[in-house]
Amino acid sequence: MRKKGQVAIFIIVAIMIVSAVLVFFLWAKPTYFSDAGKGLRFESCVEDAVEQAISELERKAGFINPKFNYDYNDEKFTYLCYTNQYYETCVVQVPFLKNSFDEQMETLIKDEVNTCYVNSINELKAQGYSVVQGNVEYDVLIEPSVVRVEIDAPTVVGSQSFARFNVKINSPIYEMLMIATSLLQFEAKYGDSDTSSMMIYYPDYIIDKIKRDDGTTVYILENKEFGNKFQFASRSLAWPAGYDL
Amino acid sequence: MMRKKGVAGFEVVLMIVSVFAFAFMFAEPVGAQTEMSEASFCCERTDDGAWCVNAEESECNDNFNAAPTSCETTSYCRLGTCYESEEGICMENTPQRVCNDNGGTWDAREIEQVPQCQLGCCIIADQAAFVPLVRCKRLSTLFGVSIDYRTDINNEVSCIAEAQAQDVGACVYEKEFERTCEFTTRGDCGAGTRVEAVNGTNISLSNQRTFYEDFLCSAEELNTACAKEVSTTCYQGDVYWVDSCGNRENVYSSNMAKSWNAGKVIDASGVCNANDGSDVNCGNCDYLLGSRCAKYDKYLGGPEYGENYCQKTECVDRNGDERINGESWCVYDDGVGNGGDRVGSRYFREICVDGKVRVEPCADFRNEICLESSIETDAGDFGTAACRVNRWQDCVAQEDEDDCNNIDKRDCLWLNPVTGMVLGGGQASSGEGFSNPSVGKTAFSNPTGSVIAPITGAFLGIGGDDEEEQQEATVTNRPKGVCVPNFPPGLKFWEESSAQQICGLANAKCTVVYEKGLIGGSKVVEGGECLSEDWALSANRVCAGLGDCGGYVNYQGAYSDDGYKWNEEGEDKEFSPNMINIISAGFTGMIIGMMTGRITEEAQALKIAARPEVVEAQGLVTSTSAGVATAQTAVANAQLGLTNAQTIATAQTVGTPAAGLAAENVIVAQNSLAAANADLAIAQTASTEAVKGLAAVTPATGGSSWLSSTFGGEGILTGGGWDAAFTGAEWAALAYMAGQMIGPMIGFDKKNTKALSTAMAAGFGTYGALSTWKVTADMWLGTGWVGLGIGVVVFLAMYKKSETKTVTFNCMPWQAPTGGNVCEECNDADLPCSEYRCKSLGQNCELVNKGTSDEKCVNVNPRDVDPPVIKPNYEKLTKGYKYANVKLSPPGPGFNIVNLDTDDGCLKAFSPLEFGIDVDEPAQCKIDFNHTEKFDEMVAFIGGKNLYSYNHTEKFSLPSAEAMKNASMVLENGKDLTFFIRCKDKNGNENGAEYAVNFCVDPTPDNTAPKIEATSILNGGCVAENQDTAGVMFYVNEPSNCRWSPQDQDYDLMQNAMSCSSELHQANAMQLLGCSAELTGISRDDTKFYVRCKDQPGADENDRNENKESFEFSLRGSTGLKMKDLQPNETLFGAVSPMPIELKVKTLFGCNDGQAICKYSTTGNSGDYIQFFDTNTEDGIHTQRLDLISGEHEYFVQCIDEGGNLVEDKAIFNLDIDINAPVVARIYEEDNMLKIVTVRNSECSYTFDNCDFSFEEGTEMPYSNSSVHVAEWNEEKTYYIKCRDEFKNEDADCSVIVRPSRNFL
Repeated sequence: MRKKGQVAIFIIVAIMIVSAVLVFFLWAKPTYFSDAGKGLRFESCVEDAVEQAISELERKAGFINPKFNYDYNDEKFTYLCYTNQYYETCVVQVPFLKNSFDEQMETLIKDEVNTCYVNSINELKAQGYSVVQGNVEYDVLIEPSVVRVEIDAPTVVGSQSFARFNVKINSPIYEMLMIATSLLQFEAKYGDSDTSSMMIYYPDYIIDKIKRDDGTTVYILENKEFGNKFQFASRSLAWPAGYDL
Repeated sequence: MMRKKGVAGFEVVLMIVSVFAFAFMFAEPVGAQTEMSEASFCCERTDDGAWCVNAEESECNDNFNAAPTSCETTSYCRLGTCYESEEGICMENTPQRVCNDNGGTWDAREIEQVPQCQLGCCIIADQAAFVPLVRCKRLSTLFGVSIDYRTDINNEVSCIAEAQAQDVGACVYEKEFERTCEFTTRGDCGAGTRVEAVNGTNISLSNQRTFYEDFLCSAEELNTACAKEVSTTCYQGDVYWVDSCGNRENVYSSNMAKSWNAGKVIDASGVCNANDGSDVNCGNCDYLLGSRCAKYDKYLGGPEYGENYCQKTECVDRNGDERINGESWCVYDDGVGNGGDRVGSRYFREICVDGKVRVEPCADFRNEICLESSIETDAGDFGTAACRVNRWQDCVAQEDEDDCNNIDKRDCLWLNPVTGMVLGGGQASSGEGFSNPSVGKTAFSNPTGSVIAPITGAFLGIGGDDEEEQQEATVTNRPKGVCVPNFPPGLKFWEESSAQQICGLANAKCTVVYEKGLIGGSKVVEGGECLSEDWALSANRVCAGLGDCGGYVNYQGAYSDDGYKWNEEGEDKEFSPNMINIISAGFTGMIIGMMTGRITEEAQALKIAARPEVVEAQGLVTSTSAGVATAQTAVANAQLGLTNAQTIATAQTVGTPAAGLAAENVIVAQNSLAAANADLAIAQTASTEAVKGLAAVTPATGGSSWLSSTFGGEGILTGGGWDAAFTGAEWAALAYMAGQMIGPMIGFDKKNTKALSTAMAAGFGTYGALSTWKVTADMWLGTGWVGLGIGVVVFLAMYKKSETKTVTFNCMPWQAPTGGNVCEECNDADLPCSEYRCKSLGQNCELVNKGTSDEKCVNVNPRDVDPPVIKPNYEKLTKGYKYANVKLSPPGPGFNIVNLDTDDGCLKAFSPLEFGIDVDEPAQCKIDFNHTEKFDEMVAFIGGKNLYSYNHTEKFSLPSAEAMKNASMVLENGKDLTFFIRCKDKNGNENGAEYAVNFCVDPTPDNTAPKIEATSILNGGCVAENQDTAGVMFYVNEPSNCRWSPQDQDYDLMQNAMSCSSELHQANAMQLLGCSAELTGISRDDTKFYVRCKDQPGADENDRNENKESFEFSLRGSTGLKMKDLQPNETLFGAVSPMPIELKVKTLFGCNDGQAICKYSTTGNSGDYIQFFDTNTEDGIHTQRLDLISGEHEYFVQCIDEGGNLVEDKAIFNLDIDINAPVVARIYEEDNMLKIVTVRNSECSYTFDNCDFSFEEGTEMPYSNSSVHVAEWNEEKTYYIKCRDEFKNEDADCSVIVRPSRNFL
């Protein structure tokens, strides 16, 4: 009898535990950010913004609004190294392409990242969650083959707190920036560059070099796999027609 | 001796003159440079955004430094090495500010001298990079390997070799209770030097990393979790197997066992032979054979395993030859090198990249040439080509053939000399030199005076004679040959440029001398070769060799002869067809002797013999020889008379009268003989001198030897008669001088005056000699006739009448053939066109649309009166449509656009339509809905582009037929619409009649609701503080009525109507119509507005379509923008002028938490504001560097944010710039301390010795950065005190010298 009582008690306790678990999961609806995140598409939203930013910046040598350009084929090629003199090597205009690209991209995606975040929060709210949003801060890291965006956005969803979101985009922009830097180093030192050997060193890239009659050289660096194009202009060691100075 | 001195002097002077001469050749461009430099400023930054550019002052950005000098001499644009410590990148030629602003560290030294930029070998696994240490660290971090940096390897080749020599193998370790592996290098494995030998399969497990050299991770002995050969990957151009852990294995082969090699590393060649791309199952791709790893993207025929294979990457060049991947070669226009590059030609390099040939043009104007070579490989030659600078600039300065042909220094070509060409002596064609040959006496003058005068004895002041002064000699300053560019440079022959100067270097002038005596006709005695066409051809050869000069051909082979002026005594001449053929063929086929005008020795001798002074000397020799002969005859006669007299006297009896008379006759005969001998001696002396004179003017000929042997020798004057000889000589000298005076008086030129003088000398000399010899009056009289006869003979022999003709070849810039029918040859898609290339094709050729994708070389023939011919472009028509009833224009009228999907061919309303037209010449084209009279009256350019192009495309969305009716559009048959098109070419010829594009719009009712495509304010945007309304324009795709409401409700329930454009002509470039609304009730939070539209205004309500869903639009209000901490706001002290200060302000609140754009101005006028250098930042801090001078400054600052919140303030501050050392105002004792007071904050130090100490050497006085300074009171010492301010302004001497004392008595 005592045993039966014990069994009954155990059963009751078990039922209570199971009930509690069911209630917790089915009624209280605990929020896991991973689930919420999938629904919010925050990362994918930022990914889209970053991809768009890379695409926009790489065609303008890494600048949102480049001022100093050379017009060619209906496009503006930003001068990264320039002299208006003849017989002289160029003056470097942007020494560290990766840094400037990094800064410009952070500026360019600022609104997008904020919008993504706000939309995510709104979506959560629309789904009935209690959400407390914080200030969004982020950092763009350009590394070989990838671009990472580390976002610090303190967010409280229900009883859970989240802070960091990491977005990773496969992109050859780091390699392209380094190749472009290398081309610039050649332009600044020798006034020209050997694209053939560069293409042998970097078989995944096509480097088009177009010399214009005013001494400007247009570079178009293309990744064969992704199709990304990083393009810029340089004017270095230009020669006049005849003795013109 | 004197002659040698003269020659030596000539050479010295020639050398000096040459230095200046060639300096002159290049002096003008340099002068131009100087002029430009003087006129330009060094802008630290231009308005265009360029750093450190020499430009006009107006182009300099006012916010940056600018100085009227070259950037090389400014501090702010001093170039140096910039390095960055994160990525480890070093960059040369970087201005300091650019470097600092980009987060780098600037160093004035060359890159090789900057320690941070020293290169070393960075080993990253099995890869290597020759980079600075910091870069190596960064790369190691990025690739997750430990740093392996070797400074002992000092070149890249060794570095790469070191990497390739890395041991590779399996790095085995345990992870999460699993024995796993990485295929890597020994160093990257981190196993240290410990290498475990593998003995059979008995491998002991270890928690530590263990490196197994030459083992694959999938080796069974290693007992790892990695399964072999599960996929393939591309690595360094080859295809490799990959194991299940993702490790690279051996080179791929479909023979898996062979490739796996029992788990051991095997060289690629051990797996399969080098693959040229023909074997998809061998991964040993060979770049030089023309294959590289790539993904196989076809369905059939791929590799047996994996998705990667060796892709064939060969190309076919223009000659149809196969080229393998990476191979490069040169492409030339016709006529390459050997001084024959054609006008407009250019060098190109082509590269085979992944099966596609890419063109890389070398620098235009042939400033670069393309050179090619090849590398021998097993599969044949691997071609390599490169564009290299054309080193033509100093060719014309070379006088020596070896220097000219020194290919290590220059690219030049040695040509044979050209008679009369003084290289660099001719003036530019624009000058007075050869512009008028008939008065071309100043031909060889030059702007600097005598420097480049013809190098004659007269000019140098040595060896000149009257003859040379009388007539300009034909000379060349390049007697050995002429050095010209091997690849003549391109010139801007079509405009004012250095082309004139360069071509003018090769002007040539030749003087042809004719002589006519009193007996016989005239003959050419000098410069005869210049009368031939060959001379002009050789001059043109040099001329064309200098660049785009002379008569030559363009790169298409079209000859033009406007580049030279060949004139023979006022008559212009041109090359014959045969010569033009030679020129057009790049001067090939020229006979060397003929071509160059090289003077052979024989011709030289003949030429010398023909020179006037030689002729004259020969005449003198002849005349004196005649005198000798006469005298000899006289001697012989006298001898005969004496013999006869002696015979008669011998026959007479002594003492008889007959014997006395006979004896007297013998004496007379003896005297006659003596006189004759004396005359003979004089004549022979004169003849000897004449021969010497001839020998002097006839070097290197054999004449002098035989003459001297004939007339020279000792004993000529022996035998007596010295009196007669001297008398004759006196007479001759006097007569010669008389002749010199008489000649000019009777109009003789110098030459004939000399003939007269010589004749008189001969005649009177003979007479004088004979008269001295004579003893009777009869004989004296006869002597006179003899002298006269001799004089006449000599005069007749010497008298010549000379005439000269001038032949000039004026070298000028080449000019393109007239017309422009072949301009479009330049638009060949294979090789890029350029302005230079285009201009060479014809006078009417012009490159249009520069910088655009429509850059074209077109014919802008001013005589072209034909308008462009328009026809439809079939490629640009929207799919589903077709052109019908096509007629070209002119005469037109045009074509129809028909919809293939509808029965009546009408186009659907509001559906996108694209169509295009082509024109037969580049032209601008306009389009209009309405009839117009001319091109300029038409509304819009087709496609919105005003480019001169062959094809034009229009793209828009069609309105509905109803809408067009309402818009009063031209409709035919009730529903046809017509666009009108006109085009205009570069000559202004436009289509008189319009070209009509007809179509009809589907008249069936429109069932589609309007759509809002855009808004004038960004959705979710912000408005300014205290503003709760905003005017917003909503753009709709069709004429509609629109309303808005704060609630989402039906159109009819919405209370707020908008003002909408409903006329088609009101549509914007996107063919959208605007509806404006004044949205009210905008709160600080997002305020939502809902917009709905209903189409077809004015139509029956049943026919109208309205939105069933609202367009949601939101705006938000904002707090005002605040400005804080505007600095500077106080007096700033400085010691340099101008002093750099930072104008700084922070903005807060507003639309975006203080983010705004700030501007500054010194006047406060709205047009004067300049944006801050750093502004619109997220943190709201805006900065601007200013370099200011001493005094009070006032700067107005205004900031505005996205919503239009404006805030203004001004900064007033004073700059106190004092470059003097601080002054000591008071010195006294206080609390037994020596105390001094300076007029401003400073620091002081002292010594007890003298004032010769540096501040740091002295004892520092408390307190620095204050005006009061103290020291111990010591009456035994004298204090030598120096004070300096915070800017280190200090005097060389002491600020004050103090001896403490309380005793003032």
